[in-house]
Amino acid sequence: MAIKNIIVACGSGVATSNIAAEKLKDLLRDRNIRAEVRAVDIKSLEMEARHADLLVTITPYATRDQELGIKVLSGIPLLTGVGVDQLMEQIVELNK
Amino acid sequence: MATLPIVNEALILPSLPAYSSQEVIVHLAEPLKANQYVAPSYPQAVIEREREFPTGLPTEIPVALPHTEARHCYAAGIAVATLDQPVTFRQMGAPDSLIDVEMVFMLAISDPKAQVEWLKRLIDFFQGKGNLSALKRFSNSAQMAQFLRTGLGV
Repeated sequence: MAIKNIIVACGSGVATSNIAAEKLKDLLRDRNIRAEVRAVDIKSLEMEARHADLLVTITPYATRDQELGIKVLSGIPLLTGVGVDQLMEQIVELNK
Repeated sequence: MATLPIVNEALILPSLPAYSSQEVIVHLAEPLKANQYVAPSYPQAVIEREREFPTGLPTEIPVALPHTEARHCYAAGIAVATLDQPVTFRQMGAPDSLIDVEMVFMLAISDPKAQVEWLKRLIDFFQGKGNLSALKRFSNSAQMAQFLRTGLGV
């Protein structure tokens, strides 16, 4: 399945999801994956997920009790730098 | 660029003695308030947000990035404390995990969209090998401010 639309969510949408989204864009570019990345508000997550292939989340609240029907990965490595390669490998794998 | 804040050494507190995350937040809010970066409502808003959305990060040297909504902030700024005794923050994205934080970067974000660029630079700085340990070794705020300016390219 090609990953075309990725949404990035954090708890309150003040800034964190935007930073993580920017980092993810850079990393995807390095790996020649052409996907649109958008930071979204947790409140609109269910609606946004209908048009997305993958959710990268900074908060566990994002997935609690929700059947989004799309793959969910933790975006914390985008902020810490620890585990970034593993995260990107997972995305590459999903993109096959 | 107007959206990049100047690193202000008045907002940098090396070797801050503190016993809790709330104490660090309250201390760091003082120079932010005194220098008109944030409203009087800011520290309480940060404490409440930290409770709901914790900001501890397991970086090379564990850090926390407390912040809150733009309506409590007048201007973009960054207040920094190094802690000789680590204090416990909960981890961003994993609130059941506790992190012994040694440096706190408290952010005044007055325009989240415009300020993503410098926040991203800050994250890049955290991820740069040796940056945080080098910053922590300084014992005066002017040296720390200079190191941060260089690291952030501002």
